[in-house]
Amino acid sequence: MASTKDYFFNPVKVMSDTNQLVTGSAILIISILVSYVFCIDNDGVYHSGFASRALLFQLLSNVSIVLLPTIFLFLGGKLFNKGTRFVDITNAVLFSRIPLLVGYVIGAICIGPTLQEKLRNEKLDPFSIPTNELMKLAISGLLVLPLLVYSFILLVNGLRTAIHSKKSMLYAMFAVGIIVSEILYRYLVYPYLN
Amino acid sequence: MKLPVCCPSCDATLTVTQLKCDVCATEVSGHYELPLFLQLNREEQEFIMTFFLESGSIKEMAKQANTSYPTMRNKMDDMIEKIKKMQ
Repeated sequence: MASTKDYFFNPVKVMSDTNQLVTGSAILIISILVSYVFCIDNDGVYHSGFASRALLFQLLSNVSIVLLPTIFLFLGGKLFNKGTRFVDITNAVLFSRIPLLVGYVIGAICIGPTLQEKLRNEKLDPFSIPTNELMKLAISGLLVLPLLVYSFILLVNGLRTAIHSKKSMLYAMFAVGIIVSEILYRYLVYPYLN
Repeated sequence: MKLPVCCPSCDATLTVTQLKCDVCATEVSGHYELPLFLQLNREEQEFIMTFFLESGSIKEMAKQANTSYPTMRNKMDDMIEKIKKMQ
């Protein structure tokens, strides 16, 4: 019987395939729209800045930051369990994006348009930022950190369900997969999208 | 009535020593191991029966049990491992 705890920490384990497909698609669409509205610039799979970007860019970047880790984690998962399905890994990655989306919105709201503009300025003098805005920056960082941890928990739990391997090497595979996708996105995909 | 498969005192697997015919009262005594299927617990037996009755569709079983496909498949994989060890 599915518990509330499972819904919060491992939705891949308890949600039906149809619900996962619908929810996953909604997450992707919402992330594209949120990125566009709040001027989130995904310059990494797990990193973002602020820049006004066209909707097409947001579509391609959001699809890439989901697809890249999915591909590598799927290939890695196949090494552990030949029955690993691409759709299950995709769902795990998509669900792990939810806390990150919340984090992006918090970051965008806390930092605000004025500070965003200051941060975009490459020749920024740190002492020119008012104390209250520095505090907002610090608070947004403190709020975003647990969300990042929650995102990793969702992803790891989803992978454990999708791959179903009890070997501890699974965690090493997860780390390698994420790092490789991050590097590829930052140095190959993002510059190309730019 | 549930068929016990494990000893209530020491959890060892029970064996069959006597079978009786209800029609002619013939009794057969011996020492027979329980078939593999009956050595599984009730929940596992029901799982296998459900799998059979759903024509081997894990997807349908997941729908019926209101859980996800990977969870049901993982349960199946665990049972396959267990049965392989029992053989």
